[in-house]
Amino acid sequence: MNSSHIFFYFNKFSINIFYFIFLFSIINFEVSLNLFSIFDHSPPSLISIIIFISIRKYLINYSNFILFILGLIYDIILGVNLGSNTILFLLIKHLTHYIQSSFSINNNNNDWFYFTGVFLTSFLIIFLINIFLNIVIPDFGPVLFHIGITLIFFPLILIFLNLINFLTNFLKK
Amino acid sequence: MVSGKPSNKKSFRLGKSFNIILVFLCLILVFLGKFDLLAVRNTKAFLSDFLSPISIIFNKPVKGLVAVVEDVKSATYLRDENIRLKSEIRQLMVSNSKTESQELELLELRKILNVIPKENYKIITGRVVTSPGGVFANTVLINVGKKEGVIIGQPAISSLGLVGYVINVGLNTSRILLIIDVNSMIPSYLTDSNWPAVVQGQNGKLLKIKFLSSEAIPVKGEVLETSGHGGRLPPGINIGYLVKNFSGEYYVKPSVNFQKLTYVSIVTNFNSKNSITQNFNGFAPLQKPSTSDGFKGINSSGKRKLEDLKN
Repeated sequence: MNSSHIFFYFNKFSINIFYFIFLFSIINFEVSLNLFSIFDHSPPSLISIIIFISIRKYLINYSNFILFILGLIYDIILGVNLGSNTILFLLIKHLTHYIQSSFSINNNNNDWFYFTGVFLTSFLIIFLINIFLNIVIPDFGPVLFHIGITLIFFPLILIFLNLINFLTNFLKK
Repeated sequence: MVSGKPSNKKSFRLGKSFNIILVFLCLILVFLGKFDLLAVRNTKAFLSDFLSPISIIFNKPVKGLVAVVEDVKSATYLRDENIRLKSEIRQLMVSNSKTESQELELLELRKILNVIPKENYKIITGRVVTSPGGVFANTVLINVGKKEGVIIGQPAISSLGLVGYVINVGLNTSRILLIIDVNSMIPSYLTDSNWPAVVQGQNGKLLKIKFLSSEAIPVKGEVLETSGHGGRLPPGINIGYLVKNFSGEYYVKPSVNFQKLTYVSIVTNFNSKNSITQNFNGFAPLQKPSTSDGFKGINSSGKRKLEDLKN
């Protein structure tokens, strides 16, 4: 193994650590959003939005292992079955990559449409797994609220990120 | 991964197959979690202990923000709130004087009937570390654990009523399954009509009533308490009250506001196993408790108390 390889792997490792800390902060922020009475049913899935946007817009490829570990941590914090959220994260990553390779047109309106597809598909799979495990159909109110609030938050976060991009570009000029 | 190394087909395939392996691993983990294996439970408890200080750190700024928002909200309704509180005080003063006389009467009657006194429960109170909520589970983590004598199955209460019961215990933290969770089923009874029922969480705000007799005529606003049936939970803890939905079905609205849970008490000296096998006599012991276990509203022969009185 020559020095360029060592540097490459060290660089990869440090970037992954940074991603891990970033996503871990998002997870904890998402959990603490529950404290607001507006999110008394369930908070929006910020982590899904962030994973989608960072892959789609910033071409970040999160390591599967990082998403796996983060999913497990998220499951432990929420107290759900280990693996539920990990599957959700991995599915979101996988489906976003599929969209990335299949639909190259990068348009904000399309992004929202694609995110809806990605999130609904991933969430539905997890929802069905949970129904199968608990053998009970839960109240649909919080589920629909969770989906709705996530889909509402997606364009807001996108606008916010675009604004930051615009401002940084403007300041650079 | 953002890297300087160009991706090739081989690494892409490897990544894809690794992704599939991880998804399968997660599925296995999900099913293992459902079997409630000791190793999985202990790992979860250990990691909860480890992660709880981090959650507290992240919660702190948001909690501060929530407090500011609540303060601003309450300031706008200050005048209305003052008027409401004044009228509430007047009502409470009236009901307090009534309650005092009723309490004396109750004590006197208990003495006459030689009722076995209620056990005084030892409680240990902990602060809620993580907020409840989530689509798939409704649990909270509190900062008391094995060190303080908490064990799995112990009931968790607040000043308003039943919160849930302990499902996992670490050294310094315990996880409580809230009564609103879909996996929670609580044996209860309607306090006015004495009918027993089971209330089940739905992961929503209301609880479903199950196994309520078709003869029962529930009344809107009727309070439900734990019946103590099965011996898992102590009897007489307030659960909530009946509400009617648009289609005319009855649901239970929990008395506890799970969103505003800050402190939760664990009843540490309630041993469910002992209470079933040794001297469990239900909520209200009846005339012949020694021959069989009597529960609230049911006599020793298994018939309802009210029907006996009619006959």
